[in-house]
Order: sequence, then C-alpha cells, then structure tokens
Amino acid sequence: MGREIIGSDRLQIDYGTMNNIKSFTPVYHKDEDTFFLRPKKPCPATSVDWEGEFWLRVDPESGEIVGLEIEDFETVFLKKHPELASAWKEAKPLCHRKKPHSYEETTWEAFLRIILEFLQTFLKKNPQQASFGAILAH
Amino acid sequence: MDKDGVTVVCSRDTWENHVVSEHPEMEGCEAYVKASIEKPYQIYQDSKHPNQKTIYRPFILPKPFHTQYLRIAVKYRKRKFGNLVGYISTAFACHNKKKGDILIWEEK
Repeated sequence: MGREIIGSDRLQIDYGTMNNIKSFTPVYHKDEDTFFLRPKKPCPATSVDWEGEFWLRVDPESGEIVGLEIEDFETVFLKKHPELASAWKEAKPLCHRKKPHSYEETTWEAFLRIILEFLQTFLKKNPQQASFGAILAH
Repeated sequence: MDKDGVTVVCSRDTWENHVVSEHPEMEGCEAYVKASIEKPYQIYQDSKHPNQKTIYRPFILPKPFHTQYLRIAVKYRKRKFGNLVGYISTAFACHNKKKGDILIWEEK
C-alpha cells in the first residue's frame, strides 16, 4: 500500500446513523455494474472503503452515513456473497421503477433489511477500521 | 492526457448520469478530474480488472472535501486503429484507498 497522507482521525463516522439505510432507495447502474443505496436525492459525501468490499458514503462534517456504494456488484460482490444474490434477484426489477406497487413494497423492505443485516454483521466481523473515529450508536 | 500520454475521456452520459448524479460532491469538478489525471499522486492497478487503473490525488477538491482524496477509475481500451484510450468509469471523493488494489506508481 502506498503512502497515506490523509489522517485517519479526520473523519468520524456516526454508526448510529446506519439505520438510515432502511429508508434509502436502491439504485443499480448496469453499465458500471454498481449498486447504490442512498436517499432519493443523493447527498454530497466522502466514501470510506471497507475491506475492498464496499464504500460507505459519509457526510464529512456530521459523520452521518448517507449512502452505500458497491462496485462490481453482480460480477464480483454477489459471487462472493451468494446469500444476498437470491434477495437481489427479486429486488432488482424494483430498482428501476419510480414507485413500486404496494404489493412489491414488502420485497423492497425485505431486501433493505437483508442488506442492513449483512452490513452490520460485516462491520462487526471487520472492525479493523476502528482507526477511524467512531461515534457509537446510542 | 494521462501521465503516459494516453488520451483519457469521459462521456457526457457517464459524467452526468453516473458520476455527478450519484456523487453530487463532484458537480463542477471537471477541472480537478482533468488535473488529477495529468498529475496524479498515486496510480493503482485494479485487482479485478486488468484494463482498469485508479488514480488518487489528495487535497484537490473544494471544501468540505479538501482533506479527502479524489479517486478516478479509468478503463483502457484499444481503439480500431490500435491507439489506446482511457475511459473514466467513475470519480468521487474518498477518505481512504480501496483495499486490494496494487500500487504501480507514486509521485516522488
């Protein structure tokens, strides 16, 4: 790894805002094979790499989690995490609709719950980034 | 042009509908992207895509991202007549570098 010239203490991530994800909108960019979870109107943010698996998008001033970005989503990520692949198969068609039908909302919510559970487990198993300042959940 | 003299381009569609629409911190930052490609701080080989390199340049974005890196992913392809062209696939502000990628060049 090359020289690090940006101090790890400059960013405080407020993990208490992880639950924001439940209200986020999933978006998939097929051409770039990139999956996003973000508010309906995306927020400016800095991205924090987590073990090369995904980027957490964080407001650099408040530390609030304002999104998630996963590169190489179908070609690499889902193959590494097949437990998410079947949930994605059902949720994927909904990513391209402005407003899902009410009967589809349960699929949508279930997918967001599954992603949130995955993230929380992943962060617990990979705490090496504790070098970042953390505002712990209340 | 990148530091090796290869032309690097970004389509309007990629810039507007991927880079800026999903990373609003990049709005109006075209000049910083161009400057970073021409004068990178570090270049990494993408670990999953042999034709993709990632450029990092710190302290170039405006506040409140001035203490972050600008990260630019460039996919290189040979054109019909054999010349190599780089296509920007994404660009955004980041706090750290992606784990797993391989450092291939660093500013002295």
